[in-house]
Amino acid sequence: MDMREDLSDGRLWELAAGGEAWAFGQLFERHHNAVYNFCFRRTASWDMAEEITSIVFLEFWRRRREVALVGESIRPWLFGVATNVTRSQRRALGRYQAVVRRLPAHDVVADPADDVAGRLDDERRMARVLDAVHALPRREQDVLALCVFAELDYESAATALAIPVGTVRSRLSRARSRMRKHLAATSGHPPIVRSS
Amino acid sequence: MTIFDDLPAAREMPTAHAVARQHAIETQLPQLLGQQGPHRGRVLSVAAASAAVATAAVIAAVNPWSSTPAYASWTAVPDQLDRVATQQLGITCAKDLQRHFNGSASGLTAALAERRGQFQAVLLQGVHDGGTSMGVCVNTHHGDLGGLTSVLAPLTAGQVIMLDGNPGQTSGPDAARVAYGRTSTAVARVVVTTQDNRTVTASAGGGYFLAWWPSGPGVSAVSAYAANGRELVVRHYPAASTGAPQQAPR
Repeated sequence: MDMREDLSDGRLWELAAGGEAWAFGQLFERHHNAVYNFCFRRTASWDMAEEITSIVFLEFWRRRREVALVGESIRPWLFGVATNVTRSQRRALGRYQAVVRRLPAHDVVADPADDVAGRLDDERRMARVLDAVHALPRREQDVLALCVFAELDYESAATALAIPVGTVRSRLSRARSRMRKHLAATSGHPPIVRSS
Repeated sequence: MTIFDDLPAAREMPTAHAVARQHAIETQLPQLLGQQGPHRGRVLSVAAASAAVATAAVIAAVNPWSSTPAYASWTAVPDQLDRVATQQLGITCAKDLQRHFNGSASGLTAALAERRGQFQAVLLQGVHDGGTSMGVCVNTHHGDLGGLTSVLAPLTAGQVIMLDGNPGQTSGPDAARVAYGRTSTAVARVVVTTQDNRTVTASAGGGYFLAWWPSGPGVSAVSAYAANGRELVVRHYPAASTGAPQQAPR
């Protein structure tokens, strides 16, 4: 058994912040799929999600000496970075353009699990959802994405966005209300938005 | 029913992509961002670098003004490092070798790691162009000793052990030599005898062995033993010239 798997996020974070690249790699291994799926749900593109996942971890590394881990998991913090990166994709991609170019994602052999047709269908469905979500103010989009797309609890979402828990609650409430109205106006019959 | 109940299901990043990205981040990130983590303050200089077939090269870091007793804690029998430490040391060594040997050192991962007193050493291996490449790093008070042996042909049937590299610093108060190579699966223990009559137990496993000692003379003999203690073979090597780096004895 790989002993690295036994190390907590907190311990790996300490090691990574001290410059240990392998610890950073372990955190990537542990959380990259969660970040990948969150990024997909914010962009409706699996390819973009993969690029942004790398950028999220690059940004995580760049700021490793600035961030103090709150709680047991770094995942909320990663989602917070992902929120910022997806919000400003062009700027973030620009910052890491040279790095991303050198990452070998497109040089590797296609994975059998890479179901192209299924992924295209995912993208069409997610794009329809995002069309509706984009009608919301950006700050409410962020809260909705973290609480609904990533299924974070209020406290984790608050950590991710560095805002009070009460603000998360109120923004989410407003987002749901706006979504109901928006969808009612566009579909002709009242939709139901998931309640917590 | 809501629009959020029909979200596409989560997927895993294609495994090959994830592995490639993780590897790239681990190995390239510090240099790419120009933000190195804490460094051990080594000053490495490349004494020679050759990617020729089966040629050992050596890098050595030397502080000729140091008065520190060089290797007082060194032991002839090594302690093995655990898997975490092995991988950690391997990643650091791979970066160092990559920095000094460029593409010749790519794709190397830790095969063995050991500790002798305060000093750690690691052997890396990788496959290139149908052959094996090997790299080695030894942490010393005076910097690192490192070596790279590129693209070795596989051991032939019946071959028990092969000394692939014997680089090092052959003179001075911080002289040290490294010996490394490949073994058949029958080999469980390897003992290196040096030209100055040291008997050094090598780290051995997974088809590789690694040893180093705190003096300049090279390998005199390499002995391979089976798990039951039976001696499988002893290979002798004539005294080599004292210049460094040296061609690995064959």
